[in-house]
Amino acid sequence: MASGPEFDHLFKLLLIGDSGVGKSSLLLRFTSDTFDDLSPTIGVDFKLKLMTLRGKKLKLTVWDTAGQERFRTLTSSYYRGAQGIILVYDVTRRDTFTNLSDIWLKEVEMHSTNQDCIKMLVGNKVDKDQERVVTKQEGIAFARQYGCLFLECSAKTRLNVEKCFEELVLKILDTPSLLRDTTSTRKNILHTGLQSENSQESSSCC
Amino acid sequence: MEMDIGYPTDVRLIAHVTFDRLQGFLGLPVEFELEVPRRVPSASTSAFGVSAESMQCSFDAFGNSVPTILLLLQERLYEQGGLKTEGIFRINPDNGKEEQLRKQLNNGIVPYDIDVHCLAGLIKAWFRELPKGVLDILSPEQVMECHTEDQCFALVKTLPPTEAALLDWAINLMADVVQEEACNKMNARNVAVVFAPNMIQVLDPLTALKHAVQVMNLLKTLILKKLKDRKMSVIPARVVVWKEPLPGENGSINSTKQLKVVNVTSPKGTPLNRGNGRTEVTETPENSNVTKMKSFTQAFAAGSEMVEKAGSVHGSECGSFADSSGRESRSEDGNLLENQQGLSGRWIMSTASDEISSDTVENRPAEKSQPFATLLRKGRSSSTKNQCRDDSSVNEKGSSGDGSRMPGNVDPLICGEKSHRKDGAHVSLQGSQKPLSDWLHNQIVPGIGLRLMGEASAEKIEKRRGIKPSMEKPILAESRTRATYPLSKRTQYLKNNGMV
Repeated sequence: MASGPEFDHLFKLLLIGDSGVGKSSLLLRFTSDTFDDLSPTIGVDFKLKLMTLRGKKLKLTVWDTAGQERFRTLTSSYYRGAQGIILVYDVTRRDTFTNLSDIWLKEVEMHSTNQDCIKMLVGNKVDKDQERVVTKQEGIAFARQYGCLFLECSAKTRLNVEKCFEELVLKILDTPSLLRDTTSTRKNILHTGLQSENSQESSSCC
Repeated sequence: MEMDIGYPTDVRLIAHVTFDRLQGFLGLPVEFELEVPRRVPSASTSAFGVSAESMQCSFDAFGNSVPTILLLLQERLYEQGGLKTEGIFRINPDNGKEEQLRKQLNNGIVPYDIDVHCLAGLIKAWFRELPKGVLDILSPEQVMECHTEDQCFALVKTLPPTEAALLDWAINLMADVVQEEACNKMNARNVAVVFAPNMIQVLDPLTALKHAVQVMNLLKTLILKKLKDRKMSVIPARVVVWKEPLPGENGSINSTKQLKVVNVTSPKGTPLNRGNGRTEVTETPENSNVTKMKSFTQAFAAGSEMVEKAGSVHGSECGSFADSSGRESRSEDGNLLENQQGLSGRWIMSTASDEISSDTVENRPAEKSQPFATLLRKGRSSSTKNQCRDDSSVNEKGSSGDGSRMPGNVDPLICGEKSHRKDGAHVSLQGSQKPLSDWLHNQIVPGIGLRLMGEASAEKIEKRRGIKPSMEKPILAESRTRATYPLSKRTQYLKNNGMV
């Protein structure tokens, strides 16, 4: 117990959106601070990131899903238990923006198990300002309509990438109902009051 | 209480209707024919989610019998520069647009202003929605054990004919995409990744991912092999494909004329131009876009004999694509042409317009000195007539006295129809004459596709069609045109029978 728990909260975040909008790039920039031309994601990928916010140690598992249509049925099983969902679109392609409300928000509604899960709208590729077709105002209006947080970012230039995840996590921290099962397993078990498993847990702690 | 339902009475056999994969419905009483000829090349009302066996099929440029709908989508995709679009096949189409296009396709309409990602998305969707995945027959273990190119090739050889044809068509399509990697950023792996999950049915999410990765590797290997084979079989002959974009279809490309030199490949890799020497690559004009046209509108090569014997290759039957009004819709067809005097190759002509005139160059002295100056082309007008013009009518209408249509001599017929044109392509094998490119630049000639088939491919086609390959008996102009239902036929019938 001396070293304390590995983390105070474990959050599951999910990246969704059309193929090629930059979900994997966003995640790569966030976790490794690099940028590369990436292949399409096969199914689901996930990365871990530890961060400290408001003096709390947070462990983020970020699930990066494939945007390909075929994988939708498959990725839907990953929505379960997510505290935060990042809806990504490409500011240079309107289709990716309209598909968020046509497809992706419906997927969230259908498969998400957390009623209060925080949604965040992210417009990526703002570095391509010349090619921009979706304005910031449209993004804001969308976010307001569907009750999402909103930011525009660029995985290429790093602009706002860190901020996206931070804002989302801060909002999750502000939502008590989402924090219920996010603490390390020890507390979970104590909360559920399962005495028998408590001893097992304490041994694993050492 | 039970209720008895009587047996049907007065049962008669009125007609025996069959659905032929190449001809559409056969034996359909005329009163059941659709008022508007429909393009849905399917026994069902939908072109999607239906097995390839119950779809109307056509041959692609490589002799694969694949559903016509795929060839249509592919043709339109290539026409609209989809191969050069960044992220083609990776990027999702707009959901709303895709739904709309599906409806239109199911109603027999193939609109012109379709987003390329929509076309690409529907090609993937077609495979995804098949009752059974194309590669479902291969077990995950079999796929897993494939490491080398030869193993992969041997494995896909075990596929049944329908699946084999579909896969080969898809691999060719993917190879076409990869060849434009510099523009579209889709390398073999990327294309394979986006196609792989569509080739298999996802049942168990856990194993599906693993299987998808293996199928991806299989596809990647096959694409790379295809590209290698293409490189190997390049022959010196060159084909010029010239394409006039659809007037008014897209303002940005409307003004550009496109010229492309395509290497003609021979399945056997044998040089086909046994004529006098080398052919030259036509310069691509600086201000023109380069369009690559394959499969449908393509590839044409010939030796000097071709020109000298060209008179024997007759104008063939025509096939058509739906025009923008959607009224006229007919099956894409390939016409098998063979030189009477026995060229070793065979000619498969795929057409893409209402009307076609494939007129080869007359044996004029000027052209005899330019052995590769064979020209094939076809006209397209806004008329909905389905008849083919033969050479003579074209000559009457279109040519000046000596029938010359060669460089510098702009065909008045062709020019006169400019405003009606949907699209244009010109294929020409050319020798060393300079003016051809100028001529091409001035011409407005719609889509034509000619492809030289190796004997193996031609036999393959005949075999699939149940024709015994016979090399002695040349087939002159064998049409694969689907029987069409003229608009007036049913109306006429109904009138005759006092039903209207």
